[in-house]
Amino acid sequence: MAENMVLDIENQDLEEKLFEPSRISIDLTPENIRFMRSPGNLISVDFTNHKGEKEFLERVVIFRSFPITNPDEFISVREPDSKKMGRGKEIGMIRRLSDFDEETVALINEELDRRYFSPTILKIRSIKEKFGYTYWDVNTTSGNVTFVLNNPFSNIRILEDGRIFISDMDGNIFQIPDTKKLDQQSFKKIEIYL
Amino acid sequence: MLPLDKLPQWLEKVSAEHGIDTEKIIMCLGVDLDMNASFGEMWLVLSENKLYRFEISCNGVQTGGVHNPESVTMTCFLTEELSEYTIDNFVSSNRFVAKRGDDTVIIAYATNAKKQKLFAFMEILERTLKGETVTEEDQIFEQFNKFCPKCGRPYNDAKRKLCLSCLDKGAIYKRLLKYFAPFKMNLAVVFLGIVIQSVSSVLTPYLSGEFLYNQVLNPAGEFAGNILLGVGLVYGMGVIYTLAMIIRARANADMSAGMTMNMKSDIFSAMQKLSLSYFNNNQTGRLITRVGYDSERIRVFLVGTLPALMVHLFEFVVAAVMMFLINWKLSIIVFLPVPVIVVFVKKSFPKLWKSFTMRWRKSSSLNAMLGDSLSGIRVIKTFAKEDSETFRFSGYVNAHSKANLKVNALRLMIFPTIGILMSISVQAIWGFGGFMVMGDTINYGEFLTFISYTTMILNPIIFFTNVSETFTDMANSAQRMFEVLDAVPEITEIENPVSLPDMKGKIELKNVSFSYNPNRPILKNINMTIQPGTSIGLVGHTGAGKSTIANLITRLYDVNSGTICIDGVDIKDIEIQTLRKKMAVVSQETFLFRGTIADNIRYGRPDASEEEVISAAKAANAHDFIINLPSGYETMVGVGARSLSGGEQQRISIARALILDPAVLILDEATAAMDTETERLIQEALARLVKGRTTITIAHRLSTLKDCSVLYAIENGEIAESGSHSELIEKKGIYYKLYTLQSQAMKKIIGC
Repeated sequence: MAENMVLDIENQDLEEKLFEPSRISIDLTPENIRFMRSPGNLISVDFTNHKGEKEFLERVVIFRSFPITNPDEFISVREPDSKKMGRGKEIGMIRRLSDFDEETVALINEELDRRYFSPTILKIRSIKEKFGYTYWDVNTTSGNVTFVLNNPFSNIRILEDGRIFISDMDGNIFQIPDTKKLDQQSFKKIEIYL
Repeated sequence: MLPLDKLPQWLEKVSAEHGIDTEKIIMCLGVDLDMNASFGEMWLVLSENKLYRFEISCNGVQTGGVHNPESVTMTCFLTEELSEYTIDNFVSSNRFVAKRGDDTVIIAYATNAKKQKLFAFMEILERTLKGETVTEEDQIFEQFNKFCPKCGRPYNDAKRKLCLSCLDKGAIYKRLLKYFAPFKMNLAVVFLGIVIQSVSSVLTPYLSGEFLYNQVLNPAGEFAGNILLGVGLVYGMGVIYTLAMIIRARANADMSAGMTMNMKSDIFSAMQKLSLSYFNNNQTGRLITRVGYDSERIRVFLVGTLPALMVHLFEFVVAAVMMFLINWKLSIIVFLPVPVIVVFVKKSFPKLWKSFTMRWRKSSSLNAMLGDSLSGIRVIKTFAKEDSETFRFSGYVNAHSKANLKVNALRLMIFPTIGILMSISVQAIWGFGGFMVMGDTINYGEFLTFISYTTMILNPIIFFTNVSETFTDMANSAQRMFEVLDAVPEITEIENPVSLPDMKGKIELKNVSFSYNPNRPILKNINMTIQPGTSIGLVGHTGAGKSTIANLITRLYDVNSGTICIDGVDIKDIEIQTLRKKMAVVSQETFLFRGTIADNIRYGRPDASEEEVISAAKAANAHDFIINLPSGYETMVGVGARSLSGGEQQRISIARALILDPAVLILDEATAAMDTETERLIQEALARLVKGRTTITIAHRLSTLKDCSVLYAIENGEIAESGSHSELIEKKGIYYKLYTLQSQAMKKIIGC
């Protein structure tokens, strides 16, 4: 079998072409990339890719590596997923967002805020339990909402620094930065789940 | 209009104002975010070739939807200008975008609550643009219109599959009572026991007070001086009470064991019938809890709380009546502190429950941590993390002991307080009663009887104050149990399915598409025909969709569109048993059940003879190593028993497939984890196994595919190329790329 498996490729160029990855993630700095607001209010980039070629992408998507504890570092800039090509590839990583000018940071943060949109709960108006589902009625930074949890004990994540993330039945995430800062009435309602 | 969202009245008006013909609206969707991606409301309306977006602004957020918008901004997109619709999944929200010319435009934002509908909207939009007419009966709407299988009414919330009308408390109790049905005799004994117990406990105070003092010890009494009779009666009541209790407890224990068994096996068999996707969506741990914990809680309720409720109710009523009969003035004194006790219990017990829940939580996270670190002990040792694990553990222990302390502190506060409150009435009775006895308004015997009834009345009061908690708890457990029992498997057999006893193994896939998640299609329009008895291979990158094809052919999942036919019959019309019996899968993931090797080999055909087991093992190249094990074919394997190497387990699972004598054999990376020598052994075994069967081999390692007559290279859910080995090499496509990649690696190893 071993002999069969070895196929001689005389043409070295062809071989290189075959195995070359289409994109290699690079370190993104203000020198090699420029972020722009696209006409459709999304983000376009002009950048120099790993081969040193200039490239323009009409739309990129941006992710945080540590959205909870380190939101301003290790930012991943990627091609969007598409039905034709599958998962989008990473263009590069921004080590520190603060390396970029204010305008760019604001643009990137605006996009990131949309992606990581999770309202902060300011006040818990009521938590009702019925048939094992809990129905919450809360005031958040983005308005009043009601949502349902199917199992409060496995859907409330408590971080070591005291922050709380609640994910409801639809998969929406709500946060409470510090339960001790909630008013007495709200705290009493949520205390049992902590 | 398609049944996605209903067009609200105000929007109908607004649409008309913008010159939209409401008759021609194809569908509309209301989303719950605005264009800044924060809470708000927008509407998408598709009408002919135009897609309208209405942004609504109003003062603050109105819960329950906007009724009277302040201002509406309309944007119109021409559908022929849009292409490549995509939905970006964010953390709690989704962004619906499309290409317009060279630009990408945002169509809408929605939270995850509207995600399903947003995806449906996109799919219908795409299909309409392709020229397809989507009707109201389309399959896509089924996800929103789920009906309760019990009563046929639609669910209040399709995602929750919880029929509130079938699950009101009354209905739950009625269904639970059915579990008593097989135990009518026991139930009768228990009931009789309760009656005897209650009567004797109610009679005792009368006999030991009124009767003993006034009729026996009083010289004027009817049985004066007959102390033996008096004491004997009191003692006799005690004996009757105890006997009744023993007999009742005996019958109860019998019944409760049987009931738990029935409940657990009901849940288990319901779970076994469910489709694979159910298990992907539910954590195994939660399922285990359901079988164990919930059925236990229901049992405690049915055989513990319910009889106790009857006893307490009877005692309470009789004692109260007796007390009022003896002396109504004293009775009122007894009942005076009751409201205080009830208020106290109502106030303090929730705190106690809360502390119980907290302790339970701490102990379950302690257990989880313990289980986690014990099963990961190898990793802990290799990284020398013993000390930090011990430290972590002490943190959990600490938290648990604190929670425990709180429970005990509360308990030590609450129960003595209740005791003191109760003793107020008892002391008051002693005081007032003492005066009354001295003033001869009541005699000593009656008074003693009265005192005994006082204690009998207070315990039920505390019980009644808390019983509602127990009811709610039980109702929750019962609801969870019924949720499993009522869940409808997604893969169902049609009525009168076709059985194919002589399956030839011709497999045809026609325009098969499939996705687990609507944004990322796994298979797109797959067409292939596999002739019976031939052997084909599937190659491609990880995640290209190869294993999904195997899952669809064995009908672990149903296709989204297109059909799969076996011997010309649609797979959905074939008996599921036939599919399982005539098709065997050997995958990389081997699983041996706890039991002997022989049992594992004959898992699919328990009636296989010892001879057949041996010949299957021989064909799988497993016989030689099995015979060398201490108990041969009777060696225990599986979790906690003898561990076999990966290659050995793999060969046992091949023998398991072989003994079925399947018409279709699917080898899903069956040899990927093996070394070359083991692979050679297994390849030999497989070569014997594939003879005369339709075989589908899925592999990364191309050498595994050397015996396949046709190879399909799958990329991004499509068949990128197909043909024989030499045809594909000539094509210089994906297969060629993979082939050269692997031969280059080989070249490096052998050093050419």
